[in-house]
Amino acid sequence: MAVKFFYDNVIDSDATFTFTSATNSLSTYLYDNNYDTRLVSSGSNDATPEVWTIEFLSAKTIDKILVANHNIKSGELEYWTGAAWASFTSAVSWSANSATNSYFAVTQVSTTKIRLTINTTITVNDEKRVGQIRAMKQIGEVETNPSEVNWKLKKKKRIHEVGTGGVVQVVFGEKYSASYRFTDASNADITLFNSLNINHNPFFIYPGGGDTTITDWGFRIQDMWLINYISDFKPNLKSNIFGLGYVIEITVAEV
Amino acid sequence: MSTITQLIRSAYVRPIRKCYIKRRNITTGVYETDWMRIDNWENKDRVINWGSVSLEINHQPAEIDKFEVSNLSMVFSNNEGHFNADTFTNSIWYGYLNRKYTKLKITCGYMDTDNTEVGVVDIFEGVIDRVIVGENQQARVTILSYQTILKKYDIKDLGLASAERTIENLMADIMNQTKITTYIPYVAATPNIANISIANPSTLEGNYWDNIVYFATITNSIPLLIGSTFSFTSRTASALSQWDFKGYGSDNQPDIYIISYYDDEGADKVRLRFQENGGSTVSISTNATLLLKYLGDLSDGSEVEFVDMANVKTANKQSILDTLIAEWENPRPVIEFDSKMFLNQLKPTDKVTVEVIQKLKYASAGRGFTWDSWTWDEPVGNIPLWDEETGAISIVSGRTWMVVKIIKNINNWTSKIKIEEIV
Repeated sequence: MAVKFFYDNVIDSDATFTFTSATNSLSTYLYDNNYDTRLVSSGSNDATPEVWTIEFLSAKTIDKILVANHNIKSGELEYWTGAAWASFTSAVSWSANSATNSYFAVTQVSTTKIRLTINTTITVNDEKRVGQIRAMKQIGEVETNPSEVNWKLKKKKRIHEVGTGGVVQVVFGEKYSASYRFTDASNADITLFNSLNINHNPFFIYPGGGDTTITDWGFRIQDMWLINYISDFKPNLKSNIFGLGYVIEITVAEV
Repeated sequence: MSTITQLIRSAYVRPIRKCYIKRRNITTGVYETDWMRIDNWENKDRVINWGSVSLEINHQPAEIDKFEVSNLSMVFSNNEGHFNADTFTNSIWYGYLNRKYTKLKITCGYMDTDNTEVGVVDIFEGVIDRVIVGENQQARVTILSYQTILKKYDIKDLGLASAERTIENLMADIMNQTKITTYIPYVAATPNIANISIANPSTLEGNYWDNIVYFATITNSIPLLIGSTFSFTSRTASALSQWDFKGYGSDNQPDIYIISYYDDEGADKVRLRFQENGGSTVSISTNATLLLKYLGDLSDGSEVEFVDMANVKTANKQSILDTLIAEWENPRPVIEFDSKMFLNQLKPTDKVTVEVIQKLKYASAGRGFTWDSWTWDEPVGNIPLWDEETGAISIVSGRTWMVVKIIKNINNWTSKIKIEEIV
């Protein structure tokens, strides 16, 4: 695995959504960066496929896909070639699946729409549920992983003390922030970090890089956050010697 | 799913806060049909400070039947220039009329443990007054409540005739105009004293709001504006308690954070004499104890409240003053405390109860009481029993109170509540 970075989700409020039975006004649940809010079919079962079509305002480039907090046992996500629906390469499909988060690296395509067909659910005859679909284009991945990562989910909160000395905790939100220390960064890595630094837009960080074998929190298949690069860009020569690589620390915070 | 009461009382709270605007068409000035959400843009939160809003009646001693709703000040991230003037292509007003007088509303609620939104309501609605953008990439937005709209029109623009007219009719004249219903949906006034008439409405002066307050005073009513919902009604507290506040000693997870003010006599607003301003009609308390307590014979007029009745029909004057005396001759204890965010669960004039039990001390031998053959509350051996209360504030739940002020701090998710005892 290597830490990867992606441009923002191409699915947004500009897209047009068509669902078999799910509520159209809740389409935001598919791209709101909140896995807990899930788009749900209505009156569906394993004999009734649920088809969700997402049409973009203009052609979008896609080479990475994350489907999070879902209950798909079998189904497929396809793209529109301009003339017909086609499978991605490799196919973004599920068969006898039991995982609730799925990541796919596919051959890059440019398309105006994608279509998710959910045939059956992990629990038999359940409603079809999906917390998030991210269709993205990769910015890059590091050649050498960080030697140290410090991350946290920071609560924006207020603590109110009541008359007994007990407390009421008001939590307005919880956001990811982290510092990544790279002690053996290559020239290519520094070029990548610089492009992130001058990106001028939030981007996704994928600390686990999509490795399904990693179960450590912060690096799991579903651990992906839309972030800003908030530290200064400050690559230093390792040991002050040319040719050994770079030491750089980058700090990121979720939007 | 939890109830809104359970979520407000919870010790772990997840607020829902959303902010919307309605812009105006660039050529017709007509407001958009749908509200556009602006606190979150393309999945990025951008409110830096949500501000706070207050609702208050009778806020000063001797001020009868006043109501004030505050304005609101919010701070947004303006990295992308979305809050700049409508001439700026990145502005969310580009292609619409200017920012000033854009409608803005805030809705709030609670998130349940199963991520269901519960009790989401509009807790403020108004129009943007000004937007100041800064190099710090922030936009400071000042929003005026709809009360301000009512202050911007002069009563003379109604062209009222000299023929006698009831308060109910005059309120309809004001509130049922398109220029007002564009902001505040019309609801008929139901004053506490019905059918009070203004003898010659053409002599009324001042803006709409000034006159609404005047109508409230002479009918012993109150004008309330909660969000965009207006009512002109009795200032009598609601029949049922809308919230039973638990304070120190009454619950292990009290609603009350801290009591910041307690006037346990409440003499400030006592008025023993109401008198027509510049006239001879007068109503004086007949309660001998109250006259003794508050020196009803003072000659400096400190217990006298003058009421402007120049426009009131002569036949109505005495009954108005008598009603006011009955309302204001008694002292009313006042409490102010910090508590949880009540959304619109509480508003001024709502009835509430409060229970605060401060420290209790141990009983000592011989302090029990005998009932039939039993002695109650005597210590048994070395086992102490709780006995009498100590501490400055002890309020039993049997007393009832009326909310007179509530500050909703949307940013900190707290409320500051002022209540007066119902006597």
